[in-house]
Amino acid sequence: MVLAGCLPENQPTPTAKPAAAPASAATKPAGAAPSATQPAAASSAAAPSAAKPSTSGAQPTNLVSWFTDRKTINDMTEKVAVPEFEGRNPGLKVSIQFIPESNMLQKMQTAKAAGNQPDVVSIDETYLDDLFRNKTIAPIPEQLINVKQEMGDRIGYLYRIPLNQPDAKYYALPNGMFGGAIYYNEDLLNKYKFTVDQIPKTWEEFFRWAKDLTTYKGDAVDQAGFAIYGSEGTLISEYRAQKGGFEAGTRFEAKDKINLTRDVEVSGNQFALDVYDKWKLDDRSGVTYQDRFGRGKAVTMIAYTWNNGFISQQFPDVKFGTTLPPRFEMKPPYGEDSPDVGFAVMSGKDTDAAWKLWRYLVGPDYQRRYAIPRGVQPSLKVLWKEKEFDGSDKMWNAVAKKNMPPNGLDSGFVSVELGNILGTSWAPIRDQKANIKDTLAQVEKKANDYLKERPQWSALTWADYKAHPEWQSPEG
Amino acid sequence: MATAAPRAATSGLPLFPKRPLGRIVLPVAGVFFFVMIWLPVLETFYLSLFHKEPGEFYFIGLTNYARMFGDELWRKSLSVTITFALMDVPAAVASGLVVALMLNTIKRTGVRAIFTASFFFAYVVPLVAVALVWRFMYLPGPTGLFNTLLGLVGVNPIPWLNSEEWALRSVVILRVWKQTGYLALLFLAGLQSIPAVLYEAAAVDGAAPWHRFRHVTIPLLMPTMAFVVIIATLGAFLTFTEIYVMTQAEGVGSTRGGPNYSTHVMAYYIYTQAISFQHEGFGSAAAVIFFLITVCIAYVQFRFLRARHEY
Amino acid sequence: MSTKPIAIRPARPLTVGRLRAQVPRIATLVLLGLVALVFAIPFYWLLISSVKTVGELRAIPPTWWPHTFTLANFPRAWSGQFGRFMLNSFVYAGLSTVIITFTSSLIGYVLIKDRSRLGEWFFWFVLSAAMVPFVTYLLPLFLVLLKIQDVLGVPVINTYAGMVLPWVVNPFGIFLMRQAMFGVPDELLDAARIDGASDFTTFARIVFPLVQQSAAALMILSFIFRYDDLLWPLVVAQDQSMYPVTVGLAEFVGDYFTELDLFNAAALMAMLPIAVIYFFLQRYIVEGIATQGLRG
Repeated sequence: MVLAGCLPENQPTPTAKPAAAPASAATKPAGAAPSATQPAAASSAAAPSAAKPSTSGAQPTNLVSWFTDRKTINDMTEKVAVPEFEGRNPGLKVSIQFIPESNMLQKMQTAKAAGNQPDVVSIDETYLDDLFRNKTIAPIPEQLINVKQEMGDRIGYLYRIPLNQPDAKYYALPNGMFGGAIYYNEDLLNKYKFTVDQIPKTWEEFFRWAKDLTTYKGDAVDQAGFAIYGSEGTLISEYRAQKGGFEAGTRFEAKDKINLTRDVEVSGNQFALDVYDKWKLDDRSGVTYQDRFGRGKAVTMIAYTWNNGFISQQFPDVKFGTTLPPRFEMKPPYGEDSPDVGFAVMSGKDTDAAWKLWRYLVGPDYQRRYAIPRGVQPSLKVLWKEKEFDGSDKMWNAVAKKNMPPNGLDSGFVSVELGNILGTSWAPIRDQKANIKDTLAQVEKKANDYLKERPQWSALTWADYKAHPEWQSPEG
Repeated sequence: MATAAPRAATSGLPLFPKRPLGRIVLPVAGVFFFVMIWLPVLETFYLSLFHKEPGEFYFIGLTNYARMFGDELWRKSLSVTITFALMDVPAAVASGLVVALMLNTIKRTGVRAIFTASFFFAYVVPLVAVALVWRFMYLPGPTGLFNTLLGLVGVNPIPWLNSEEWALRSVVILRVWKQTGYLALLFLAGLQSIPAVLYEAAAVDGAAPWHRFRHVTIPLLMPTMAFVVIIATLGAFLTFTEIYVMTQAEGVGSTRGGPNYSTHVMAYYIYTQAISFQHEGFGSAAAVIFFLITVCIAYVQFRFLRARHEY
Repeated sequence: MSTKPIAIRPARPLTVGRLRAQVPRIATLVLLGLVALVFAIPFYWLLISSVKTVGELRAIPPTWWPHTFTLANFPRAWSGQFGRFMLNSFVYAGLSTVIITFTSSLIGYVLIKDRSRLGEWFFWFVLSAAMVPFVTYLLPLFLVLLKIQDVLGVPVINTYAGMVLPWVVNPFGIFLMRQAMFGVPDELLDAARIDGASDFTTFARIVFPLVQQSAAALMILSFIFRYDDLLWPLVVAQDQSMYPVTVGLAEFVGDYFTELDLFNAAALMAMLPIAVIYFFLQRYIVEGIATQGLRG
């Protein structure tokens, strides 16, 4: 499936470095076509060729920026942030394009190959490995940001790629951390005369409570007490983190080995099945958790917090808030969290102007406005003192609390392809009553075959947590 | 087929066109054509023998093929593609044939043309727009159009595109809808070319309608049928747009191809490998195999075209 | 494909027997009408959805007739980049169509009216390419265009020229126009040449008008097919300002955010040009397709 057999473990940097570009030299290496008529190109790595003049001079510099298409954030970016940035930087103009996340990777790669790449892009962390490997994005100049100081040790450690190598650099940083949360429908809660604080704090009580709020039409669930269809992965990862702790909560035994067959994994899958079969809080009719919740047909749902933007955009009529998911014991970790990466400058476009825009986007003014609609607790610690992010905000308290170290378990992130492999286990378990352990074992084998070729430097393991005890302290 | 010329004997022809226009046009068009189609095709074969990713390029022989045959997703994509064709082709052909037979009973050409045109309309409207509209009609639970319609006749909601079981079927239903008018048109042309004399003769012999259908229509429609089946098969194998715009992998924002890859067809596999992930050598190997498969199908189509137009 | 002449029967007196004979025919007609109605449901649905308000679009159960009728969705959908997408589609499809029609007619003319072995080879060379699925050579085609861009030093990717380039010589078109050339009598050409007209003038003045019918079919079909393209523009049109409407629509439906009200209006507007063309020119389309059954 993947062709990285040539790369030694943990060292994804090939020796040839055609694309690492000084500030203004526009290069066009990646896709330079060794066509059939040019077999000579076969022996060497594609060489940089035909430099084109890059934007420079006294004219106002126009920066092209691709943002992942998210309506609530788009408006803010377009109407508030860009004018603010342009006001502070006379001579710089920013034009924005919004690209759906699922097209972003392909578009970045083909545009880069053709020399049409934008200056600054927002990327998903799952692309980071590919983009770094393909030299599609440029390293962040050291003097621009002190990552450990501004974002903490864990981020400072994980995002310096290649991990643990002397020549490692930062390429993109997380805007913040998502986490699983309980979303509640405020109107329904009021209707049943509950306050947020009365939502039970342990799973058993929570399920019993939600059961009373579930209504049925025949066999089908009409109003779900706790909607999970499509979001079961979140529920399972909360379970895993809570039960497994920092040790078994990370699925990776090493950067090239994943374990999906531990007891905590199997019982976690069963835990999610129980919501359907034992508690009957939701059903398998195919209505997603978002759809049910958004249409006022679910009192609560479990969801990753990026749903903040989704729900408020897609279902503006629903009043909602978030709270911490229930627990088994009252000690951290309270659940899993994962990064929202981030902004990057395209290689070949790493001009001063582009970095200026980058630094603005990775600065408090932009991140403050970005964090809640995106559903992340910002990485910039300077923002944590502000009211929205100190845990007191209604909509935000769950994640603000959970995503501050040491409360949440960050298990890093993996490539798109590995994510796809891991995603194949749940459907057969849910829909075809496949044996949990056998299914997980099959997926584990597939994943480990993949990992043999592409170890995931970006996955955090128990060894990482052991080596960095400070991550489990508030300073981490 | 009034305009069809007798198959020309090439032996008596001059090697080159006699007049200057032809001597310019053919080489220019030929070169252009070579660069735009055959050169890329050759390059696909060539690249398939290399490890090629941005910044990395070296010869690895048949390793890409070996890896591909071992790649579970490749095998899944192949099986999805074949399953898809096996569902899509019979359904679309049957639907087209039934509509064509009904259309053929209409004797007034005006009325028939109106009906033909209304069925055919679905075929010409832009697929992207239609597929997206259908995606919303397929919304699961009580919210989508289809489930509402099913609800009216007392059928439980179907999860459509959201479920592994139904996702591929949902795409098939859209395609049947889209293609019926087109295939019906091809069938209709075949039906109309059956000489009326044969029916009359059969009627004189006292054959019941069913017998006329069985012994006159079916045998004489066979060439059209074969032709239509091949066109439909090829179309099914090349399906990309519907998959791209309609199906999403569950929970993963950056890929398509349905829950648990249930709609991950080969064309999409090649696209993701070669374009999205930039595994250019590996993606080319996948393209080569797909090329060979489809060319086999298309070659048969080609023979039929020749038979139809060049006798 | 010759259309069959209609047998005109003399009127016969209406009898019960004849009426009974008509029953299956009428039943078929009714059945056909019902099937056609079922097939029309998606269009009906789109039509009413495009004039509903957001709130009503989310209603459970959905409404069959808009309670509040609004046309506001259309200007709102148009207001963003949509107009630009439409323009790009027209340029892309229109330009391809004009070029394809010209090259196909010219090549068809040379192939039939100036026959040679080279021409025969060329024709098979072209036809065999019609069998090659586009997706299999998409990546190298992109690389070839990159190479051209490098060698010539002018942008090709992300330009109209680059979008149109792969379609300039089109097997389907050549096939169709070559067939049409059989219908042009050689005597006319001889007469023109005796009058001293150049070969190209003969083609343009004498031959092309005679194959107008086929050329029209080709133009309409190739416009429709190019307007419908997704895969190639997805790769070659990299900047939003170059998106045709297909790519624009596919992106309109982002992964997480869909403005359903705007989407329906946009989808309808995207279909409209094709619907108009179809309404007025379907005779050509239906004939062109029925004859060839070969998609360009």
